[in-house]
Amino acid sequence: MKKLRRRLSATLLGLNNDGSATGSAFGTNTTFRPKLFPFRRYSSMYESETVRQKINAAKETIENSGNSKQISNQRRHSAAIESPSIPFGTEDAYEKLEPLGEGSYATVYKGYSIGHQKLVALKEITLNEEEGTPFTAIREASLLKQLKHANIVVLHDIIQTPTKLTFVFEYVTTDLSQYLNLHPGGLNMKNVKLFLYQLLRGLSYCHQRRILHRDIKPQNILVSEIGEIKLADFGLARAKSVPSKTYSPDVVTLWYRPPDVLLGSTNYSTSLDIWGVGCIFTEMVSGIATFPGVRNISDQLDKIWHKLGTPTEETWPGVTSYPEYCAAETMFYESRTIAEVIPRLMKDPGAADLATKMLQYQPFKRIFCQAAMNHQYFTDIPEGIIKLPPTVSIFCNGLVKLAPEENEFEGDSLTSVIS
Amino acid sequence: MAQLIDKLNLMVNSKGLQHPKANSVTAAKKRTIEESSDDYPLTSKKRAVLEDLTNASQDTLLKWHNLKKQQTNKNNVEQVQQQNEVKDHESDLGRIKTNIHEFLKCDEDDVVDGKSSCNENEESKISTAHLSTILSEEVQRVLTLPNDVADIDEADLTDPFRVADYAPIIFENMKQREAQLVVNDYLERQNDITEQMRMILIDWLCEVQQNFELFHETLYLAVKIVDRFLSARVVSRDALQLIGATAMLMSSKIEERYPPLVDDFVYICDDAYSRQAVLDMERDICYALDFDLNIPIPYRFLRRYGKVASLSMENLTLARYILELTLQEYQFVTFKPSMLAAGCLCLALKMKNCGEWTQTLVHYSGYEESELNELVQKLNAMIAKPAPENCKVVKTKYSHTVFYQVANIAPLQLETDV
Repeated sequence: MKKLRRRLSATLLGLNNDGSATGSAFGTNTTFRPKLFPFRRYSSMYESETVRQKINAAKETIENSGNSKQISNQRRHSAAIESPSIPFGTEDAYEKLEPLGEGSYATVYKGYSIGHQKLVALKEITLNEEEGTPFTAIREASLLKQLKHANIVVLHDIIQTPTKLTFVFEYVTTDLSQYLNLHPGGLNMKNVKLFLYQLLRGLSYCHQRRILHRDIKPQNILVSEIGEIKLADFGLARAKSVPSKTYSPDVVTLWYRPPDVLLGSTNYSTSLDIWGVGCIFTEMVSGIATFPGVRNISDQLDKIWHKLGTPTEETWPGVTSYPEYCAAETMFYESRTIAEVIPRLMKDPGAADLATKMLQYQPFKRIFCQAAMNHQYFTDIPEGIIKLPPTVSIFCNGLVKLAPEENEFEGDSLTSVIS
Repeated sequence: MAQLIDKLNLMVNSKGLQHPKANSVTAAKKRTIEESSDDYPLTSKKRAVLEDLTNASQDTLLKWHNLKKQQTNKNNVEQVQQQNEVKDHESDLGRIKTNIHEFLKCDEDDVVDGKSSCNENEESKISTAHLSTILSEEVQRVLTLPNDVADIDEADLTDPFRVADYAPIIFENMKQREAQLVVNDYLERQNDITEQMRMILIDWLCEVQQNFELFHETLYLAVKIVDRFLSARVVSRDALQLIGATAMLMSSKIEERYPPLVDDFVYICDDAYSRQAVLDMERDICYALDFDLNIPIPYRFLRRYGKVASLSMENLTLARYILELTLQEYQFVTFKPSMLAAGCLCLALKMKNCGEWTQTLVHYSGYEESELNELVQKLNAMIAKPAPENCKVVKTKYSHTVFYQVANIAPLQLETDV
């Protein structure tokens, strides 16, 4: 076999345009040094159709908004009106405001889109000097490109510079983690249902496109002012071929990680995300994290066993053969139903049953997204909502709306976040 | 490369760490050199790998990975080159073995119903029944099986680790997506590159996939990225290998658990391009393709259709051989991946005379046999012609006994058989 290492340029240069070979063949040691591909990001030669469209769109938006003057003066960047040539896809199109938090591999800032005159979230990813674009960024961007759903955060734009990559997302006022903090003691059961339904709606859309989120947690679930749920942070997500391959076991935040993965299984599938949804469902009902492990994997497992009972070979055939199963560290707890752990679930018919079906120890017993959406718990979701196309929000037709929360956190109000 | 990794394995061992091969799929994928053994104990090996897999320890993996990275950076290129020459033959053999090993492992997942079924999986069935409520009419049409069509996912519903529930709709969504991402006849607009140049490049990429022991999906995706980039940009032939290597780097980042490093690609390009050139090209490809890199590939469709046809491993390998050859043929770039996969399967069935294009296949692929005939003839002509001097990687690979020597199977006699 020929050696792998070689320069094709020599061979390619030896070819005439009609395909006949005149020059050197493979493996020939040549001193030829090819010219590098002339690389420049924004030269007119490379300006693609999409960029041109974006620029035009930006110009139009700016002109239109300049005429209508509907936008608050506070936020408007005066330069935008004077120089309407600022295109999307460049840093100048956005004004960076305060930081919102550290993502899994990036820093997120609040930002302001000068072209659209609205708030955005800017996720800045520093390019690795050695390895270039992080694989998380490539995966997140390529997945979000194909996910167009009302319950998945919208990726408006991507800005590339030589040292960093910025994803421009729609700005959503808060996330479920903050929302839960603001309303301690559990959410309004009506809102729990609406949130859970939307979460399943977005997740089901992903699963149907062979995409696992793999990092379901309240921090990654954004909540808009009117109660829209948006799945965010696909940095750990990946497209999965239909027969499952194995993935790195270190992917889900511990609290929302299913027992099979905690026990060392790498052979997981959509059931991985469903366990997380079950945890979030029960957390919304009770107001506190359902399995808040504090130290490590075995502590996390202990929290689960403590709440729902320690599995045995009878209740979970094969559990003792998982790689991380450690009999010595496993305390024995009596098995309990989720309704015994979280009595508030009984307030809504079907809630306890659905939670039980999501929080099954054995992955294959866990309910699927679509089945969960058809569960009796959701029977009072109006028909007009079930039939909505994926890109339409469930609040579009006024059939449902966010109910007031019973418990308000005394202190800073939520509205301060909204400009 | 081969020796580099072997050396690392030794190093890891000598440091008292557990052998990395015992710890991860990737490690298992990395070269196993079995000196002078001509039989392939695939079954036992597979079992061993799976067993070891369940013992995977993240720590050891990370250590190994870091070690590999450090080592790659430190390692003197010439040293590697020397070693390469000495052991080239042996490593080739080892590589083919591990390659086929990986190949078979995947396929047992796909084709054979390997896992024991569990009786209590009522949920799966329920969800299939309910699935149709929210889906579009188009999808519903696909999900409703006509009487003469077998439900090929039925057996898998009881298997926890397959997404049988989702399979029909996933493939329907993939077909919708491939329709949006059709590659056009871009060479018309290129003035410095030709079909032959593209062929040489893809042939080299096939070799890279084999040598780095990447998934086949990675290779197919890399070729898609190359084609889509070449549709978006006019490039000079000097840049072609850089584009190919970078596309492979990017598809590895998407598909692989432990993608090769940028330095690995700089090395295999014989330092024709600098590391910075690769990184710049990566950004440029991202930009040109607008990060839309999750592109349907024919390999996944073939896996699905192969399962529909209950193809034997040998016959599926034949279909895969034909499909892999189409990668380097420019005439096939404009075909939809699902159609290419269907065409390759159809030709394989005819060559081995091992089955008809049944209603079940029509249903799952969406193609009638009559629609495929022209393509099948083109494919047959492709395998009938001798491989060009510079582009023999695929033929050589599939001439090996572990690939059932499918490359030696005679093509159809065109006029009479098709």
